[in-house]
Amino acid sequence: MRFSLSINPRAGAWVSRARLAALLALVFCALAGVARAQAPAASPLAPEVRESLLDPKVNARDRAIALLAEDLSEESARILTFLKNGDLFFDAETRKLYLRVGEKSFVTLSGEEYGGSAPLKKSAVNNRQRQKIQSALNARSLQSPDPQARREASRALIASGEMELETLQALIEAEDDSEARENLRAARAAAVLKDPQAAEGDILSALALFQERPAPEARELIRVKAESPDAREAQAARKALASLEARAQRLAFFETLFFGLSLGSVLVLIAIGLAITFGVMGVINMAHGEMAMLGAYAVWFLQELMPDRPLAALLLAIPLAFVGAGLVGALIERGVIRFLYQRPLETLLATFGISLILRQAALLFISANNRPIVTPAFFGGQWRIADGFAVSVGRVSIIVFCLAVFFALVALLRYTRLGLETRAVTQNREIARAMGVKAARVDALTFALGSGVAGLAGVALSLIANVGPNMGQGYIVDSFMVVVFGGVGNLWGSLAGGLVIGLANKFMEPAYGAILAKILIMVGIIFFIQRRPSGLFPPRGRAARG
Amino acid sequence: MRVWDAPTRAFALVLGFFASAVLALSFLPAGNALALGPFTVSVLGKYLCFALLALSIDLAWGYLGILSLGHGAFFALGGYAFGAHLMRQIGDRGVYGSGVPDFMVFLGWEEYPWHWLGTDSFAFSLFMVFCAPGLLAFVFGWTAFRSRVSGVYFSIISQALTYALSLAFFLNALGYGGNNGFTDFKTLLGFDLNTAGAGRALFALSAAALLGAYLVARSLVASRLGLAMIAVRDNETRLRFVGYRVERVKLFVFTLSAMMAGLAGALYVPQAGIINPNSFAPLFSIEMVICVALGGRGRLYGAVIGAFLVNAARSGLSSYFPNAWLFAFGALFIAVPVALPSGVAGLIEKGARRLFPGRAASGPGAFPEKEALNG
Amino acid sequence: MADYSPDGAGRAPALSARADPFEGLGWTPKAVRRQKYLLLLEDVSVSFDGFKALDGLDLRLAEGEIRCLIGPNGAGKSTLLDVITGQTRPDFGEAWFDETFNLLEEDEVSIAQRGIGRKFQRPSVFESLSVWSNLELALQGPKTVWRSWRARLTGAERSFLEEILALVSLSDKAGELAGALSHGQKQWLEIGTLLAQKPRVLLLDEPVAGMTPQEIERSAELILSLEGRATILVVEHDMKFVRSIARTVTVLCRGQALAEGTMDQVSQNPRVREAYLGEAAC
Repeated sequence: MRFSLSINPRAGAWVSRARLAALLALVFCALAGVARAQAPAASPLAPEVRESLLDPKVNARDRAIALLAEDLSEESARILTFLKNGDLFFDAETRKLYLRVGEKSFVTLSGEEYGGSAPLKKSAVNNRQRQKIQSALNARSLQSPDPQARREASRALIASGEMELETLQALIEAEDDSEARENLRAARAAAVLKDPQAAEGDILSALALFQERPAPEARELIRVKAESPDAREAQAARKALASLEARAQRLAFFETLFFGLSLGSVLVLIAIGLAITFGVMGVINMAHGEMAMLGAYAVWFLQELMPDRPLAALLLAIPLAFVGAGLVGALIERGVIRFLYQRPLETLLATFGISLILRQAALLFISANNRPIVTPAFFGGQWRIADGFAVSVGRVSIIVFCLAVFFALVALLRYTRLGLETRAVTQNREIARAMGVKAARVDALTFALGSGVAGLAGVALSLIANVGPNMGQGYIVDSFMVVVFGGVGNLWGSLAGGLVIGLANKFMEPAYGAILAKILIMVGIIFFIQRRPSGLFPPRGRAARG
Repeated sequence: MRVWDAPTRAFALVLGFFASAVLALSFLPAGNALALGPFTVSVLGKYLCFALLALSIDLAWGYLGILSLGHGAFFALGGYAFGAHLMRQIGDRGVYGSGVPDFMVFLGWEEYPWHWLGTDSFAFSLFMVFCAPGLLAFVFGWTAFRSRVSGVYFSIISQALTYALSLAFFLNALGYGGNNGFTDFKTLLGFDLNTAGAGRALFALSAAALLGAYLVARSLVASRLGLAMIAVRDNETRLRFVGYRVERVKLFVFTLSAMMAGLAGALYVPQAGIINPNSFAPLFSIEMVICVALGGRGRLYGAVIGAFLVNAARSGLSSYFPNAWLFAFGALFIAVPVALPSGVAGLIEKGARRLFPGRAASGPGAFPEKEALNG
Repeated sequence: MADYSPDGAGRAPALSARADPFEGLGWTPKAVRRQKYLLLLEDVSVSFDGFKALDGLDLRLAEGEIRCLIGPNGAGKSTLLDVITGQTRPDFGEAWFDETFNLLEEDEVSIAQRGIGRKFQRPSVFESLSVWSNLELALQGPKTVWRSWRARLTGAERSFLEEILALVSLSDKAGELAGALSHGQKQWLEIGTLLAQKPRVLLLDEPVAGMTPQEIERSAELILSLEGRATILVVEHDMKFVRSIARTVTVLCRGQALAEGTMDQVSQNPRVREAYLGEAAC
């Protein structure tokens, strides 16, 4: 009994899927705008299709798309996909089709490489055609064995609402993936709303379904119903809209939260280097932003060296930025700062001078303009978390990267000899010296470490900000705010401070505009510091008292 | 009276000589090799304003040990307060011939907003020149000093203050001209600003203001309050146990210094012919700080020397070697704290000690040469 | 000899606590205790992150008394001075000065102006001021912003400061920067600035640390010469010095008063010996 229960629906699903094939073929005809009575689908390489694809006029592509949509073979799906992405090319001389498979490599449909030197012509499509291809591919995906493909295709169906009710019903019954089934139900409800002859009871239950499971794709259909003369329909539609609004707000909230976190994590990374150097040496490094600039330029430099491999360049930039910025930091410490210990205000001036020189050098020897950074394809992707809520892989990577660096730094300070010596010098320089800690060495290493981390921050920053001579200045005031807000010399404070400031920025931006939000935050922090001069996490105990 | 002592007399003499020489040369006919044109007079007048601003920074940094990286904000506030009056004087002589300034025409405003109330009165504007920066300094200082924010914290927060203000003044909707600020001034108290005579008068006024501010500052630092100021710099905790209300000392001097900066801004605006949000930019403030450091902090005349040196070097270098200037400027920031902590004034005093051993003791504000300083 | 007491008013001779009608009953009402002692601390407790720096401490100082406070490191001596001068607020307990002045409700400045002067453990003079300026700054009188801007030294004040200079042996250093003085001279200058404030209570935290034996001897003379004019509380580790100036000694250990009495009495006390010599808890 148990067995049959668990197996039966699945088996049934397969059976009914086979049964559906004929039905679906009809649907595709409708989608493609072709009369049902037409002859069986043309082969993808049928002369008619080929001519249509080779035609220089974009509108001529309609014919090929229609014919390919009818054909259910893998081959036609492949051609459609390449056509949609603009990767279908042809040789005007030999009238052969080519698929672009790499930056500069082309193959024929049968897989032979293109050896010619003349540039190939693109078989272009317009937006309308691209949508048509998409819905044809979607309909095709509805019977794909991959549940993920079925989910996406069924979601697209909600928006279009273009499918026979019986077909949808059959699909719903056959579907064994719960998410795809939910989508199909919503698509069916959308189709009901779209049907001018639908019975009132069907419309009401469709609206009830949308109230329970808000689908932004169907917003326009529901809005039309909200103005229906039928009071019950209108009321149901309004309820459905309200639930849609609530969902949209929830999503907007999460999106803002996420943007705030990613901005905050970059701020944390910049601020943390400042926090270390200030905590250990009592030195405010005004050139810290320029260390981040160096890191960002490292990305640009490596991408210039290997223009074909932006991702590899970005990954290689991580060690280069860390070591490079770290070396410059060590140089600054040995060359300037060590002469100025115990004179924090003058260190501030001297490091500001270094910042001026570095900026001017970048402006003079690189360029006054922003340098372009190629975002690797991998980072450009989207990652779907919930219904209608996608986050960019790049931003997630930045958050993960920043947190990883942060925790590595915490571990370094907690578990290594250098960390122990650093903490000792932070607490009491003289005593640490007396116990054999070479304070000067610790200072240089700490400063190099702080600068290196700023360089890493620059790598992260290159993906979300303009890379130019003044980029450091844009973030230095913010990261100072993070440090003082979180409590100087406190890593956890910097983490909390950075995230709070990043979130506050993003949450206030929609309401007040970017500039006013920034001003309000700054004024808020100024007052916060004056109420709690040692930040969120003040150092505790007797040593803390001045 | 301790104020009118040898350094003060020397300062007044040099300043008076300089001012009268400039004025005299400006009357020479244009062909004469020594003649100073109206442009040169206004440039030197602006130097005097920068010197006044540097003096106000020195009062706070050199004596109290409070490094404000936001003194440009007070300067700019004074400038805007006075600039608003000058804008009002334009009347309907603007490009659009409307009763309001051109930037308000762009915003679609037909009347002055409420916060322009009173700017048509010269007396009220003069009051605001002192009041606006003074009030900001008072509120900011009161909250900062009461919660014992000091050292680099104070510097960074003051920088954030001026940064926030620069962002705010860039907003068109604030009603202070946005990006372009105030410019195209025509008259002041009925006098045409674009004449050589007006230039000379403003120059003379700037010199008088600098001398006046020097005398006030001098009377402060030469009094017992001046001792308390230096004690704040050295060890403010200890000073509390001596029975001084450290916060009040700081607040008084800081507010006074902000008012001096405001006056400098007000005198600067008609001579420069423009005031815009760049005066709020942190870079401007920190430039003025380096003037003080170069001249020698803790010595009032040092700030004046520094302001003249830096600005003259800028005018000279930046027109002939625009790229080299910023490198040289950056190098100045590094070299002065490392190699010349007591500035040019320190060199002068060292020279004086060598020439007249035993006579020229450094003043109470002077920093010990090799001693570690707590900023 | 100059009169260092406030406004030159005569003071009662040393160790003369005011009459106590409850004498011998073993208990005195608080109001009377406040009247009887110039400085009265009762049941004062301070803790930092769970560490009890002071634990229910009582301290009673009569007008004109010289009291020495000794105890091992971490006994709470400096914390006690912090409580008296308003730097640290106790978790509970009471602290009264001059009968009506509640030390726990006032800040450092009011307490200093009311007549409690403190010399810090590390000599802290204003190093970029001259010796003379250090004294002038401390001079008793109104210390508001306006009054100190307008202040001019009168002849009497000038000669008063000169006498102090002579007393702390710095007459020939008046024009020098305080930062240029030797360690011992800085200690004396700091005591001199305290005298210029004409305090009623002097709190001296390790006044002879880092001094040569001659300087220590000189310091002891200086402190003894003040007897009867000011109430003095000395925290010191140098036992020889303590013996030379102390009438009464209080031994502090782990935030509590372990013993009180003459130097001989407390040095015989077995618990004190244990506290100083052994590692064992006291």
